[in-house]
Amino acid sequence: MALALAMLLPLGGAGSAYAVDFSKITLNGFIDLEYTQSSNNADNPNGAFHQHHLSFLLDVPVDERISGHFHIEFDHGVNTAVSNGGDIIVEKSFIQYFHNDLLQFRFGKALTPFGYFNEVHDATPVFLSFGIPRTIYRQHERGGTSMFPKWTTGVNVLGVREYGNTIVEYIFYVGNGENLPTVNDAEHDSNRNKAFGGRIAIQPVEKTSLAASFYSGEKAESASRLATSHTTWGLMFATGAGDLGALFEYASSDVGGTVDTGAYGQLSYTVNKQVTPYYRYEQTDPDTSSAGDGWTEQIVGVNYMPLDNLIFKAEVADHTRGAGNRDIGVDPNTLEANPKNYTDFRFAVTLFF
Amino acid sequence: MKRMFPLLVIAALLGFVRPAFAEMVVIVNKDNPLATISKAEIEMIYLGKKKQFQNGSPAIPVDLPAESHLRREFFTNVLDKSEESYRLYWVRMIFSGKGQPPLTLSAENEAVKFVSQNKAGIAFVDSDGILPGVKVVTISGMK
Repeated sequence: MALALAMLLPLGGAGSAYAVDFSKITLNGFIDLEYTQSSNNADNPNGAFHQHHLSFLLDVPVDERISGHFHIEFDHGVNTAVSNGGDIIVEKSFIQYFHNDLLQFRFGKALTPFGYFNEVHDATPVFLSFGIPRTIYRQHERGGTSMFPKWTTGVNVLGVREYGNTIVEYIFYVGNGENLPTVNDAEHDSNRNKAFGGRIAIQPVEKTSLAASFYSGEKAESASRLATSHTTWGLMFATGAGDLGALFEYASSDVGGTVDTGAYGQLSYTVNKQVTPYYRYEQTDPDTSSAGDGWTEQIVGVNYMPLDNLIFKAEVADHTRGAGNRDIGVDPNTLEANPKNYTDFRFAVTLFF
Repeated sequence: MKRMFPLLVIAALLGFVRPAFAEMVVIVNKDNPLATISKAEIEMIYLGKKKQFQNGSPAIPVDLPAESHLRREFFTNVLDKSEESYRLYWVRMIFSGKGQPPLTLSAENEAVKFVSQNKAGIAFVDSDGILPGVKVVTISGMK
């Protein structure tokens, strides 16, 4: 016991010596409550409240060049006393080293920098709609395969440079590949080679930007297929004029020869700085070699921000699916028929700081 | 107090008319070798995309409170953004782990004082609030 205390004392001293001035640490976070109801008997016909996210983000500047960035999320109103009782997730946890504007590094776990939305995957205060597009970003929920891993653990290199009034940003990364769902990507790599990817974004004029993303790695699909090749590329175009905004993305993913594609377009118009109606059209083709397996989702919604840190969202989503989509049929969990077409009604309130 | 009332009225009127005569300028520390800065560079510094001036020295931008009349002018003419879109931009930056918005000081004189005491400082203020420790830089690329 005495030995243990003797070991702890120096650690306590060291902790004080290396502590960062608390006034420099920034704490942000958000919480949201949702209510969803579906006309699809296999999903959520009764409607349900959903305490979806409780998130805390810390920015810790250690000195002019080094900082730490952490995001911990309590997902689905965590209750460890029940099975399927939500998750506690490290959304990101990385150390950033700033050499100069053109050359910076991140070491750790980060949301994979792919496309417009993945780095704000669950950050509901950031996007207008209830959730980010299922197509491209959650392709596995559209009858396809995930186009890239949500997170990558490894090293990122990033930077920015302006050429006149044109701004060019890049980020490249190398990290663990995609493991089986039972194996933690942040700890282990079942694949022989490391995954790598990147994104280059150009802003030629104010309010208009173009970006190209790519991902390449190996995906463990089963115990006998631990290294299926996986390559994805995507294009993004965002523009706006006054209160009008438009966003378009397309991505294509090849997993061992099976090609998925996804695309969406979103239009929005902000009225009186607080109310933003939006429309989004999403189209997914889970396997381009197979006909009649597509999934289309059309979303009409409104985002209302009465206070600087409070958002209400309401939207209706209409789904149309091809008969060949793998999600069609009898749901194995509920044994309810899972029809081709259905409608979701979604409401949410989000508080952030 | 009664005697002071006319003076207060005059002072208030002077305050009211001041923006018509004053001009929004961008200042840096007097020891900063910068003489000219591009509009794009200011924009990138205030949007957290750049942490350095063109010459490689660190840049720390300073913001003013939301009620500042200069702030709207700076955002419209230099950043090409409304205050609302600037705020929402920073919400996205914060929740994607890309940093924190510029330090907001309570008043212009605080901003001038900060820049005069920090070689990395950059701020937008009224031209009549300049102090010896700072200098005005020319903005290139303005429409």
